[in-house]
Amino acid sequence: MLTLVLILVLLGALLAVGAPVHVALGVSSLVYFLGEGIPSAAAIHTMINGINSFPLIAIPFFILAGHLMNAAGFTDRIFAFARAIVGWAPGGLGHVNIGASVVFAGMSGAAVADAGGLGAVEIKAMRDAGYERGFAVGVTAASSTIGPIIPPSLPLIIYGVIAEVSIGRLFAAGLVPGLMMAGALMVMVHWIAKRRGFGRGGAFSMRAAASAAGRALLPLLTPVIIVGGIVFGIFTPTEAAIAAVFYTVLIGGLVFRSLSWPKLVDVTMATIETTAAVLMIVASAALFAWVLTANQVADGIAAGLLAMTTDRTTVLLTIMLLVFTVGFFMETIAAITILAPLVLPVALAVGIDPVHLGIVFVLNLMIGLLTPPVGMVLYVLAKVSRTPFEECVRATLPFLVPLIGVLLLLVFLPAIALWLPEQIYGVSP
Amino acid sequence: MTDSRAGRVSWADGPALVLFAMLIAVVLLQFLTRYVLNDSLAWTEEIARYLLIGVAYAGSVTALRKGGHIFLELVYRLAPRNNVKPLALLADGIVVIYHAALTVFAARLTLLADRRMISIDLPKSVVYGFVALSLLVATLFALRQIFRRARQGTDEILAAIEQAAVGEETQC
Repeated sequence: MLTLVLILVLLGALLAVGAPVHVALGVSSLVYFLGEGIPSAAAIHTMINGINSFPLIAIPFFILAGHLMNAAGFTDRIFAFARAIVGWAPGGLGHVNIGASVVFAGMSGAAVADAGGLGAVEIKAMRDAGYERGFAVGVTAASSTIGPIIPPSLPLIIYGVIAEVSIGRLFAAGLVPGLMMAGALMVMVHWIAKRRGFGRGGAFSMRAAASAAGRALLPLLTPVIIVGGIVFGIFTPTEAAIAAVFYTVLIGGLVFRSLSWPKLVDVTMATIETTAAVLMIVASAALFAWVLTANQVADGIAAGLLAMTTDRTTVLLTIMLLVFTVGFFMETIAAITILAPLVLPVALAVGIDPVHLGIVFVLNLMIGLLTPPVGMVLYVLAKVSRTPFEECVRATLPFLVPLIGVLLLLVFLPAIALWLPEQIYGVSP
Repeated sequence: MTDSRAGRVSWADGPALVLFAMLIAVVLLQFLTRYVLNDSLAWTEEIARYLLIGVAYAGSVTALRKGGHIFLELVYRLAPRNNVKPLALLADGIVVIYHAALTVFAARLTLLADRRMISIDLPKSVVYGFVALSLLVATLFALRQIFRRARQGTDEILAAIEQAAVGEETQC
């Protein structure tokens, strides 16, 4: 027990001095391994095995597809389309922002990529149309968190690999909650727009809408292929990811002629860098999980929590509180790889569906991306929009209300997440 | 998002780039054989997994070189200015020691492992040896980073940390 406390303190200290997350996890676990006299070759073997997994191959391809879609100009076409459809409503560009995020969510798997790519386009358009900077940043930040809830989703793939849950099921489970998030955010935009008297973006024009739809047709097929393919079990997530890459290169290279070789090399290098950063954490987390298992930490947490309550909802709320607290300070992938193995046993013991837990888990962490001190989305948007960080925090606060509302609904009504996967795959085993 | 950092390709990125291209080819091949021949080639799955391991460790060199690994930059926002450089150097030192240790461990594993791959006749040591080599290169780049940092002023270090923390690429 004492060794374990020391290891956790060491982990905290390493993270605090700014060592990379994967190094902090690795060093603290290695100290335990070597202290117990376990051969060092076994340690590196555990790490390598942690990423020796077929579903993880979807990660680089989804990252690559997202980069390619930005580089090929899919993002701008989708934004223009959303603008032609809902731009006329009061606070119109706010709705456009959310709508475009939903479409982009169906193509990319990361919230921060959404914020950095689409966010830049959205904030610029809103500023040009005379919206307050704060409002633009707030809507963009909040809507970017829809990305990892609507499939595809990198955090859900990693959760699925750790929890040994079908990724197809997890993806299907995210669709309805993701659309609910969009709906809830639109209500908030509508309310703010009415109260502050935001203008309309000009009358609806059938001809403009048709032209924008034509330009956006091929990009709009991407989410149909990916989400439809995975959710209805035609593709495995890895196959859908490679199909998306292939499709984007085809359209971007041959139809739009917006992709060039230098661009391809650029986005490929960026993809490799992100993939490595994510997978190094997964590898170190495998070692860390081994240490936790050897010390029966998860059993301890389960026993402690079950002694207090066996009520399903109370346990889920307690887990959420833990995830929320950790999510305040920790990056998404690291938080999933560390926390999921710890809370799964207790969740399973009281009969929480691991698919339901996964969606709650990720949504919880997404809200953490919008809160300081480690609100990555806010940092990116502050940089993209040249807005002071504190102003971004303040502007995003009102939009946390609808997101937390959806999260609570999801906790109390598991069917929101579980209905669709049960329709497609049947009741989970 | 592509940014200016992505434009600089170095020799050290070569292996990751080649392995990633092979990974794309193998997964495409699996995809096509499953849909066209209705029966995917048996070796593709296993080889794809090993290629992913290779991309991860070789790519980690690129991430290390460009400051792409995920870290918490909170302390640098809070620490007194005088402490920024010592803190950064401490973190760099930990990275060097960690990678050096892992290099040795991976080398040991390479020599110890006697299993062969399931679908093609190659020893698994090929994979472990590649990991060891990547870790060695990572150690060297981590060392270079310390020397670079030692010559930088506090403003330069803070700017680099800000750039790495908001590097768009690495977050999910």
